[in-house]
Amino acid sequence: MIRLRRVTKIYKGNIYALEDVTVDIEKGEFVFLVGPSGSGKSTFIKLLIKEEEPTSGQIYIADNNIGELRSWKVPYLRRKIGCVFQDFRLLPHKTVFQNVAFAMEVTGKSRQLIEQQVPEVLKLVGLGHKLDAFPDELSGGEQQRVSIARAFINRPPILLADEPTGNVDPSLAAGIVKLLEKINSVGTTVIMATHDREIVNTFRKRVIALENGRVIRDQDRGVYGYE
Amino acid sequence: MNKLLYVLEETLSSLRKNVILAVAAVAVVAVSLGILGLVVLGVNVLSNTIKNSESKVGEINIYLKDEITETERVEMQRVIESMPEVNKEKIVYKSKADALNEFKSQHPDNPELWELLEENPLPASFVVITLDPAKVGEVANRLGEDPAFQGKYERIKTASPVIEKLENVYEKFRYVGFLVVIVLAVVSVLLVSVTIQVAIFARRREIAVMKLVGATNWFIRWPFLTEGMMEGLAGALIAIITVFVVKIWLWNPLKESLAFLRMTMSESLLWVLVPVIALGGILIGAFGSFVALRRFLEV
Repeated sequence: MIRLRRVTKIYKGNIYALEDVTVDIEKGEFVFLVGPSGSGKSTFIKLLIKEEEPTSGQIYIADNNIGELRSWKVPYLRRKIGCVFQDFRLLPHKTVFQNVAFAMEVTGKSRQLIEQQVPEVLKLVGLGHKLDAFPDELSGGEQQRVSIARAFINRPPILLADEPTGNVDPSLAAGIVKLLEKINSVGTTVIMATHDREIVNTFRKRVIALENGRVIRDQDRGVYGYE
Repeated sequence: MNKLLYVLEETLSSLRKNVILAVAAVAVVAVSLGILGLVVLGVNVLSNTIKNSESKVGEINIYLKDEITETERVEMQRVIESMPEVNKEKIVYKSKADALNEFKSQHPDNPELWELLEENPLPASFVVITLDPAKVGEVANRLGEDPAFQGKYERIKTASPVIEKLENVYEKFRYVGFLVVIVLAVVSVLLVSVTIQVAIFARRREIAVMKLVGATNWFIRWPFLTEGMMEGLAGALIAIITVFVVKIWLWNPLKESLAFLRMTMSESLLWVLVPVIALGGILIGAFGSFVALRRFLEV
């Protein structure tokens, strides 16, 4: 599903964000991308949605080299990849329903389909009763659920989550990951970048550990780190 | 259909949000296109007037005293014909009756002008065309000094100095006018571009989310482009109204009161101007948005 071949990303000022990374992620996998801040997790995710270009190396998504993708096709790549961020990125003046519906509107879905699917997905994430609430009326955990609903509403085959529990109350963090697990169980490939040791150790998924831009460990049913 | 509604909704809500800037942009577009319209009409009037006069270049009018005899008149004609600079086939003698008829046909709308007259005040005249228009002054002088003409004419008139002045004015008016229009058009483009920049900035969160969920580049751009084009079109409509107001309330009375200048405006030009101004407004708007999108919205 996702293949990185000797991918290196150097930012301005000769800062190595990723160095010689080769990784294969199969369809339907759930992967924790772990490592301390600045280890290259966010860059990894930005490269997958073509927000950044690798300095060298190739990235394949569903056997397509995305480095060769014409810029007008990038939006279609992004429709296949749902994204969730630490800061939620919800629109403050739109309700929960409108925030999720927005992802369907801008990709040209019909009003009828929107009316039908948005409540369904919001129910799936446990917010079926808060359709008309505004983001600032919700807790961090609830806001993150809205953003997951928005990422998932168009049923992308891949879901990327960059520190999704970072701004969520620790007691609610496990609930967020369980939700991602649920989305993974219907066949969605999920990659979650995190430095939450407890979460990683609890859920026991494949772990790809980054340090200073290099993959230092890739382990099935792994833990956060050896100690 | 869905998409169209979306674009319209976004455009209108965005226009509402930055009303003051949008009004300024519309006003500047209106001023520049309004001036364009007036300059085009002004150029037309001037060039028509010059054309009317130009057919008289090289023309000398010799207005005769009423009391001259037939023999004296024939003698004068012979003198004229003897001059090598004169186009002999185009020497015309206009009797007093001819002059009156010509006057009537030039002012068909004002019959009262001549009905008031008890007798014909217009003099008989010779109309002489020189082969080389530049020789007009010289020929007129020589005729005036010829013994056959002494004491027998009222006035000898040549048209060219007036035309020269008019042509000078025309050239200046045309260059200055179009220069002003170009400068104002550039200013309008920049101002529209600023309103679109503000609109882009106001919606940066939405734009970020749109990119994230895979909205196509044109889906993101369209509302901004239509916003610019609507500003341009609004300005154009104001300009069109202004041009018509000027035509009806300023030009028409002016033409009446300065009827002796025989100024004319090609009326059909007015109807050519309407689509040209409308299109100009839309183009200014589209170009302004385009500049803003290029600089501030990398998709």
